[in-house]
Amino acid sequence: MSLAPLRALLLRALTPDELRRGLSAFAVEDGGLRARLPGPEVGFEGLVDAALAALDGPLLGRFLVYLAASRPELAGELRHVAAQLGVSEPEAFAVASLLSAHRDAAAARKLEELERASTTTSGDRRELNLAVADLHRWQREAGERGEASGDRRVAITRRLTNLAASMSAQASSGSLAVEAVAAHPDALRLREEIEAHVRRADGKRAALRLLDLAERFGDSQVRRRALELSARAGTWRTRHVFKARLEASERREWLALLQAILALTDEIVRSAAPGPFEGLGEHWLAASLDAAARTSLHAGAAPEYGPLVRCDGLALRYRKGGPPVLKDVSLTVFPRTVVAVVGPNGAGKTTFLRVLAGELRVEDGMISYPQLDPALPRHDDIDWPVVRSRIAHVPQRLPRFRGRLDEYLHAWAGACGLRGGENVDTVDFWLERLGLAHCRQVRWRELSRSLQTRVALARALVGRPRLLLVDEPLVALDPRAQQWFLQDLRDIVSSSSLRLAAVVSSQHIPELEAIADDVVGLRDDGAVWFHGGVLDLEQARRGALFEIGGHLEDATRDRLTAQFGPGCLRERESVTLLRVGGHVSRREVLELLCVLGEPPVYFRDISGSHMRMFWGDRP
Amino acid sequence: MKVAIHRLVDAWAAVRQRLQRYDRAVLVRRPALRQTRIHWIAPASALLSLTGAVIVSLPRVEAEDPLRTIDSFVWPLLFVAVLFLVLWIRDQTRALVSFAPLARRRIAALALLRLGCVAAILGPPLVVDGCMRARAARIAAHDDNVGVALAIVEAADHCLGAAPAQEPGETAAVARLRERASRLIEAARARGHSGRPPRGPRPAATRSAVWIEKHCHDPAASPSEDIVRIERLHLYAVARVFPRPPLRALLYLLACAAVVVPFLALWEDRRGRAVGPAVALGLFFVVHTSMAIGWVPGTWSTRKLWLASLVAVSAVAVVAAPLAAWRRVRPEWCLLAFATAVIVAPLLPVAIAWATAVSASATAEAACACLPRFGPAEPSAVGPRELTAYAAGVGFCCLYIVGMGPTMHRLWAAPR
Repeated sequence: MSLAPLRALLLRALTPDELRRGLSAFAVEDGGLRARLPGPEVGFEGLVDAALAALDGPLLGRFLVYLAASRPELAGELRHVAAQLGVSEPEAFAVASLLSAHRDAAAARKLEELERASTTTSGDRRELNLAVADLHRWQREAGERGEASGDRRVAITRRLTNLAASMSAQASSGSLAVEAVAAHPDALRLREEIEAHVRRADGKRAALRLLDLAERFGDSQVRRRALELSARAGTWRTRHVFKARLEASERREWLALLQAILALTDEIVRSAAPGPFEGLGEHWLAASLDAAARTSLHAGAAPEYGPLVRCDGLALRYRKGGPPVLKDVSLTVFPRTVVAVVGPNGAGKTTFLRVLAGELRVEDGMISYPQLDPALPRHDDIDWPVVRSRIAHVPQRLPRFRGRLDEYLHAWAGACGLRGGENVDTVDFWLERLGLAHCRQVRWRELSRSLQTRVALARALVGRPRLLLVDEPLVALDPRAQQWFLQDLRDIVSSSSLRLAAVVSSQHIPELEAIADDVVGLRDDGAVWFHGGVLDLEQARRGALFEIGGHLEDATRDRLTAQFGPGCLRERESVTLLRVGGHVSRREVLELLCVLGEPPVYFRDISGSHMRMFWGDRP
Repeated sequence: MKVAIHRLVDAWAAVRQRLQRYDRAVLVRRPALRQTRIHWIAPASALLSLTGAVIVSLPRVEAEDPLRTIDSFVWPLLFVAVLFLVLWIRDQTRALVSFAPLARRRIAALALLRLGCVAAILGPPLVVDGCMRARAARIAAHDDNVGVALAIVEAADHCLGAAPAQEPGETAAVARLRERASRLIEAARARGHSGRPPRGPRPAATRSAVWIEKHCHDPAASPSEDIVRIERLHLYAVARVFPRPPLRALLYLLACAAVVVPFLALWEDRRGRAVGPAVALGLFFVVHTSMAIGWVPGTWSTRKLWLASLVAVSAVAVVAAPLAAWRRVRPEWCLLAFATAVIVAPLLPVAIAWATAVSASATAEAACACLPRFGPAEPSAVGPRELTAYAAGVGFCCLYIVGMGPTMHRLWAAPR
């Protein structure tokens, strides 16, 4: 093992003062090392030789990692040197190298992989998440101020490199983690989401997911703590979201908040034990069951995974001899899924939702609610009071309320049978979860349309439904509010203890497709255009369809026609549609457009989207 | 001054906060109570009743105390109570109700709570009226007023004895007056007064005797103030006819509406075509009853016919609603039968009570000189028969709602 490359590197990259300061800081508790270093009368080469002589064994590896952390620009070279010296912590050098190259996203991914591979304790993981969150916060602030680097960046880099080194060492030790086996898989998944939000420095979203976790796995005390944290996160966000730079005390406060979120998350996950079928998830039918699981299955524990609604061949006319509003519509809705109902105006979306809600009687077809109707196995008739009490319908025309918001929700919770502490907890939870906590005392007329929609959703969820029907919720919401609403809906459906499913109708097809598990496209005549997931539609397509915004030059049009054949272009209002064969990729078309002239201001691949329905395309 | 104002504001804020906390506690723990607002109505009613009773009862009783305060004080109070009751019923139609099955016990509890609210809303005017009538009785028992009554009895005896040959109609007014005066004296004796003529000169007694003597010879002579006062005292202290029959009927119908309307509004749920005919039928019978009684102009020569039709429609509707539900006919028909039953059947006690009162008024006492009239319907005291009829009507509403409620709730929840 030759120390010559390292010696050369130290002599080239460091000054004597830097080396002396570095050694003192590295071995701050090691009095023996400091004693073995010569005084200032010795030259730089002598100092380097003395230092290398003093750094023997594992101390050398630690020093190299320390050096990489404090001088990230040397990380690449140090990595080579470490490899030559047989130091077994290459991941730390890789992280330092990525950070020095300002490839923060790659560094964060690397750290995440390291964390997965190592047997980190919850404290280590928390430390890592907080450091990455700090890095993200620094990026945001630096972007606001136009900074490229600074002392804080260096400190964060050092911290992350050290963490990488310690995780790398743990990974090499090879012990197995046991926590993942003991905890509920959904709890672990939620924890991952929360940590991801923390790492992105999105404290509010992390707090909201913490609320979901607490609602599902925590008791009332834990939920109360989660509510407090969420309220703190909300206040903090309101105060500091546009702030270019946080003061040191503010940063401490922010990190303490994130730490509290992570700590409570860990606490809940530790207490979340898996149920008999939880470990199997949605694939319990395909899984092999042991004797105990089979007993539970026969006792009726498993049907909760079965469909909530099943309808087949529904047909409806509002009057005899009138035009059909629904024609042969079939759908099965499973728990924890979001079903989107899309279609042009007058296609029957609202009518379909009203049929599912039990408001309208169909003239043909079958509808059943296997999990909502207790009388189903015994009687043919649906027990509508029971079924409808488990369905929440949020109509397009939102129901107004009198008095103040919290009174209204408490009254509705009371009408749904919630009393005392349960009533208070439920209302408080949904107010906070849906971002309505600051509107407790307001009246209907004081709410914006976006908040009114949220209030309607809160009212629906307070009644603890199993099936949520939401009709055109995105109307009159701005793009950010749409995203926020849909994300909340998706999160609640996928992780709430209510085990509910949502059927949402909307004209905002791409936004809805992004969160939906299943999409029903209704045509003008009430028949189904396509039913299935977005991937199913992608697979079922016969060609590709692209929307190109803006004006296309004649030369471009001619070139495209020559390339893809006559009739490939169609003008529709302000959009040009390009229909090509299924083998043509998006990349190919974009490259061609860029070659022909200016790239288009707007380009969208709708081959796998129900948007195709609006342009007269067939699945 | 500023400090005092600040203290007042702080105190008011503290009181308001406590009231809000109380409201929240009821809202969260007892939603049914909060839904009917009885947690506010009952204490406010008790407070108002107590205050009214104290104001009326505390001042000392004098013989010359004015009596018209009963009309001027109780009537506005009753008007406000009725107005509030109507608004409250409207408010109850907007109560939040889940689709979850509604148990009979819960329906009964709600109906009873709503009846309790009606009683609480009508409580203050009734309590104040009772206190004022008790005060009138104490005034009537005053020596001076007893003296006037004794003088009237003596003078009337003298008049009736001295002119036996006169037409009975001419002496009827004097005889009626004598009767009232003697009943006043009896009431005073019952309260522990001697009922003997007071010593010393009594100008009011003398004036009354003189008027009767004059009236004996000239029946067209207008009554003196003392006579009017004695009639009022009789009316308030002995006859106790308040509230008058139309108002009693109105209060009864409001009590029925308080039970029926919130449920009907819930189960109707935009099926106006089903409930509309029932409402029209109810209005038809109300107008017809009013015409028959003479409250609105018209003739009641067909009294038996409308009474029979009212009974027939009520009976058919009461039986048809459960039958329709049992036979699973269209929900609209079931709702129509139910609405007709709960709208028309409660009119029966009113019709019977009024018909009885009208037939009795043809032979009974003529009008009191001092009260405004609505027409032939004369003020008459609340009898046990009338009370029983009204109680039966309210009881029917409650029982029918409780009996049919779960079925109607199921029909409401079913798709259309």
